[in-house]
Amino acid sequence: MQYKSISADGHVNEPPELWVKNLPAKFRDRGPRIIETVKTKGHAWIMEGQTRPSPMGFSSMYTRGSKRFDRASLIDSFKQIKERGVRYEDVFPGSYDAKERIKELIEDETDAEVIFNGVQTVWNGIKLCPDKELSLACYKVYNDWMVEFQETDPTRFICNATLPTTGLKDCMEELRRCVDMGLRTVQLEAYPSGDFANPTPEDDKFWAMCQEMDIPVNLHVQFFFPAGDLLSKPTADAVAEMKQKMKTTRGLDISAGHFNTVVQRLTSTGVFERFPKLKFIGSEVHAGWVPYFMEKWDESVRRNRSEWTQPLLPSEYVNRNVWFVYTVDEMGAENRYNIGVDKMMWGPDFPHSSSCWPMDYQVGREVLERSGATESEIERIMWKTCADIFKLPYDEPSRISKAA
Amino acid sequence: MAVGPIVNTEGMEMAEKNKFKLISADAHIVEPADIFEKYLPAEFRASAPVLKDYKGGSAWFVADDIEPVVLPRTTKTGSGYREGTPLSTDGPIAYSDVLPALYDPAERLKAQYTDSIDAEVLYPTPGLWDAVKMLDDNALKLALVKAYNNWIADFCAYAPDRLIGLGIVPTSSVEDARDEAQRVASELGLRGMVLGAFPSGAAVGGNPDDDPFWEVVDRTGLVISIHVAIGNDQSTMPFGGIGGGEKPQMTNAVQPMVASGFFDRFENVRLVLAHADAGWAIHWLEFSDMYFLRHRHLSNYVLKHEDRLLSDYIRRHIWFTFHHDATCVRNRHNLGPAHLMWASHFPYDDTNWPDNRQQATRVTAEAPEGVRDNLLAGNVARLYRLPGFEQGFEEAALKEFVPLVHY
Repeated sequence: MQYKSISADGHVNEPPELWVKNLPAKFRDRGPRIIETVKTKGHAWIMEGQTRPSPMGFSSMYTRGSKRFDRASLIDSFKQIKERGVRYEDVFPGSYDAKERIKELIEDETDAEVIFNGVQTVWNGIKLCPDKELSLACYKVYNDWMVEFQETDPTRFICNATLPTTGLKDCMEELRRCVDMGLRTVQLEAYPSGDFANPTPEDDKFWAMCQEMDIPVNLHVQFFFPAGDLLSKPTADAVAEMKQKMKTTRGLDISAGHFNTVVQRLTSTGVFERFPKLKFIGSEVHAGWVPYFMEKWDESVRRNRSEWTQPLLPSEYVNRNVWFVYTVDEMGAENRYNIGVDKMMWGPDFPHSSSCWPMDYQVGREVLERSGATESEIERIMWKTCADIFKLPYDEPSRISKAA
Repeated sequence: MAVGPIVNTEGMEMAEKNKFKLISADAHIVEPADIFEKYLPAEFRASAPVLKDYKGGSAWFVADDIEPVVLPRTTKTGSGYREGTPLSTDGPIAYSDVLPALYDPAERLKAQYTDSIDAEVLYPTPGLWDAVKMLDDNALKLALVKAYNNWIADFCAYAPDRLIGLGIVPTSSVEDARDEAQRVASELGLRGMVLGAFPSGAAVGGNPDDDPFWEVVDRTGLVISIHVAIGNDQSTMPFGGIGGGEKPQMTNAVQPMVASGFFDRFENVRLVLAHADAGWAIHWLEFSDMYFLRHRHLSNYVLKHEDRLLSDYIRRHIWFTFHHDATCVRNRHNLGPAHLMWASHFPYDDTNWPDNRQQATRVTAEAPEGVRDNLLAGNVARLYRLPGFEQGFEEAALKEFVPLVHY
């Protein structure tokens, strides 16, 4: 098997009837289901304990208008769905049908793909659900489906298990169950204990398990801890405040999400010191911010050495334990030597709106080529690191790339 | 333009006229203990902040409902670099221990000389003025700010080409801000001001209510600085201790300024984002543009120049100070090399005083000589139109940067 591109970040949109059909009978009426919003006639997810439905957002769909060459058509389709909300008919069938997905991937010149869940939408409800038993059952239904999805073509799909936020024991048991079923990686929606804000010492049991089984841990931007505030005070005021905040920071905070905070907390509490082989991946976090982040962090540690309890510098842990997935990131590509050529992975975020489908591969290559990357660097970033981390067997390319 | 007074220190030479080699674009003073006694009109003196003993050190008592403001811990040592491990001081610093260079201009020149620095742009102590921002009494707020502005003008008169003091913009009202900006520019002769909050009380920039203030700025050419953060409830004190480099809060105020067409209305306004470095901005500019290009229809942008990107406005109107930030030097082609100004951050914990020359040399090491001269002195001298640089920037130099594709 030879690859030319492996996406480290792709998404599903969960099938509308996934939970209605598959939850245990006692939960079936209480789990996630699709409703039509009154005003925009779009589709939204709702389940027990959720007062506000989660509409399918702009990001869940894609339209056949390449960003770069046909922005007008992109803007047109956004305008359409602004007036009438997004419906399942609008999203690509490959979002929920693995066989269709293969066709879409082939058109995008993507050989394989790491699959993540559908971002906020249904997950708001599952994470916020006050009934932990119901919440856990929802995670399990999704993960069973992920196994099925991956089995359609395990050389093409590396599906993430979404780990429950209902407690450390549930999290670890579900990790074990998913790995036994053949999943090769996991995505977190909270710290392993279920805490949405801070790491806890008991999380070590989970990290130890991941290290021992060599299971990479993914953290995807924007849907890690989004509900933290909602959990503590799900009032109308809090929601309005959050919306206001999002409005004023549009285009600013969205790129790095909370990943840098999580990395700082894990590093400073010694998780990477205790688990040197743990693989921690930030998906869709991009990379252009990394060089300054690391430069300043190291400098602050050198200057405040007495306050730093770890034997290594922050950058030494990050260089060893952390990977960054970007979609399109010109400054990241130009700064690759200060991030690490082998710490960056290409992930076009298909089928979400930041993807350039069906030109993701071409754009991905072009960004790297323009930055002067060599063929072996391009291979490294476009697929090889991803294949290594997720243990996809491949034949070494016969070209100059052996050195990489 | 006369060079400032000769300093009577053996072996200390006067800076050769107009030959600036190293200028700090961001350093601080400490307000002298008697500043309000000496500079505040009598009627306000009873309610002025008072520097008093506090927990073994000194703190400004600003109002009953505001936490006492302790003196920054490194005002004793001039730097965290020289503090040693563990920290030599745990509690608040006593005013008697503060380096005289922080409130006495003659001493300040010696401190500059020790540090091989030819001139400094001088900022107030953020904590004190953050507390003043929170006062309810507008008349008092204005009087305090005026007192500071008068004091810093006197301080800098001692050596006007080496001490580049910034005034403070009052936040009592838009009219006060407008009038004080006019006074600072024409009567006090200061070259710039620090903006701690938008005078109208707006949370973000670009609010038309603030326009009377900006009109004066636009006309007078005052350079306006935002130091770390902006807003009545925001702390503008630089973050010390351990942490990664991140995008500062003030960008949340700047982006709406651009989006609202502010820079179309005020084409001469120049903003400095101070004490926050610039390495983060490569990502900020790229992704601001990408969201603008892809999703501009989802937000309200009011821009006169349809063909300009957000980053074009930002690059045109915004300057960055940088310190421990080789990332921005390496990426200067993207940020615009005329917009980067080295800063010492003296006397805060991240400064290298008295070894800043070595730090400045090291962090700019990869830039060729001509570019490096500008990063270390030329850009700040042109921005503030220091003696010998009154003509400011050449238009071409300001526009020099390598654009991205923005897929």
